[in-house]
Amino acid sequence: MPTFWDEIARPLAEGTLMTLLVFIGGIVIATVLGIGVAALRLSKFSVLRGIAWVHVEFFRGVSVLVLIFWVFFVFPLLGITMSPLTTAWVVIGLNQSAFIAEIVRAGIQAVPRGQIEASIAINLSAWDRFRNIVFPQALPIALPPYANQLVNTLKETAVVSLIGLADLTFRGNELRTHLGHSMEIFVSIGIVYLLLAYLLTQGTSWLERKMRVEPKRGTTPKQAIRLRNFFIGGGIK
Amino acid sequence: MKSSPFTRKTRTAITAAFGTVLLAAGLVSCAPASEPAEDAPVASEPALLTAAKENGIIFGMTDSPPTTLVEADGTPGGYASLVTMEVLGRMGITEFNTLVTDFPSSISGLVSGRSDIRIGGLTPNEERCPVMAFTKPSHVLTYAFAVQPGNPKGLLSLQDLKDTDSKLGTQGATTQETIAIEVFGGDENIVILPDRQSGIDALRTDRVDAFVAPYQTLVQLLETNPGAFEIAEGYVPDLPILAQSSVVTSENADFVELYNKYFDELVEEGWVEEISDEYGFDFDLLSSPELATC
Repeated sequence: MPTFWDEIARPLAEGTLMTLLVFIGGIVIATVLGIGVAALRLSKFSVLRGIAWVHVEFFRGVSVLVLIFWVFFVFPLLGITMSPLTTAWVVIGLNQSAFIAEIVRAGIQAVPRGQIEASIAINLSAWDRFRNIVFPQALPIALPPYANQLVNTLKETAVVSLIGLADLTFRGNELRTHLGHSMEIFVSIGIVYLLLAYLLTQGTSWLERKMRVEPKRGTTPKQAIRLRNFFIGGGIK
Repeated sequence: MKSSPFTRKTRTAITAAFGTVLLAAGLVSCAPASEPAEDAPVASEPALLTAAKENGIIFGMTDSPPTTLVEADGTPGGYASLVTMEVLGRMGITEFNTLVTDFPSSISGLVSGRSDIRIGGLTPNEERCPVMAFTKPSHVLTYAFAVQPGNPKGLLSLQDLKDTDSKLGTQGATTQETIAIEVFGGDENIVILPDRQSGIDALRTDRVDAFVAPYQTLVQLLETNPGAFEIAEGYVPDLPILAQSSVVTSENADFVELYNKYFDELVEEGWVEEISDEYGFDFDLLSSPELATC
């Protein structure tokens, strides 16, 4: 006789792991690409700005459901065949990169112009300006909307169930088909999504607290500099 | 400083258009140019069979017990899977994989090459036969209604539903949906549901008055949803009996020819009848003159 673990808990646990795998791959691609596209959006070259603009408008405007069907079912007809997991990463990565690019761009553009002008006045190079002046101030501004995007991305992973990838939603539907009990199963997978989202928001809230700019002085926080050093190294030379 | 002949807005539009063209060109260039096969060997067996012997075969299917399902160990299960695996096993194929999608996507999966053969649950009809290669039917579906316990509205046919202005739940892109639209003269009282369990849930929550599905499916649903509904007496008279075949793309018609040969062997041996009985399908209906096949 099948146990509770074998019949219900194990499929849901495996589905949760797949959801996390899709989420992590997707968000890494989205973040890296999003930062790159944001940089292009702020470029002084109009061609690069144009390409970035098209990327953002296209991937922000096209439904992720349509996109995943296209990549999974239509691209093979053009000779491009990706595994279901790669398809999921690429589609979620591209879709979310458009939103993240705008978050990063808005964060960078929110840094007061005077800060940048001052750094130019003291003869900092463009790279030093970015890592010492712009990035540490843009980061706390971009973090809250980025946290929202993380949760959105987590929920968006459910579309991969439509291409046969056995994520949490897919496993839930499978259990419904074989066992019935829709309410119990939907409640269970709802709780798992809620828990994962809660962990994400708690993690990003912690980061936000660490990154918060001191209101009295309006100076760059030490934590932001530490984080900056962690990601891009060094200080002003 | 030399001034540009274009305004800033015009320049932005031009660069955006340029960016679009670049992206499109990049996408197109990703697709390999199709080259004619040179010195292609003369195939002594169907190309699909050769490939499947080497790399295994992928079944495109919906999760729809008792016809098609995936076992806990990942292997295909259910009536249609067993029949197809038995035939393919005799053809020399030993590795079977699955791609589980919803019903409409199973055809897209086949056309795009995501699956090699779409098994179970596809009815040969005038629209499909010219564009796909259907095997001989492995079983026949007869349709019934899932209704509220006691069938308070006395719903036994699509006409009954029309006369009582009742709502019908059905899965989308199916033969039963097409026929229901014809009988109802429109789709106002038809609720499309993503899967069979949703049909029962819709019935339970009074979103539909009847849910139409293959009789064997309803029997299985009754096991997992005891007391939630009852199966209306008799088959739905306005729905035909429907042959269910496996299907491959039309260029693999030679594969189907060979498949049918081995399938006939299994029928002659009595194996198909035996397994039909085991799964509750009426084997005799396979030779019914009412049955439409390609």
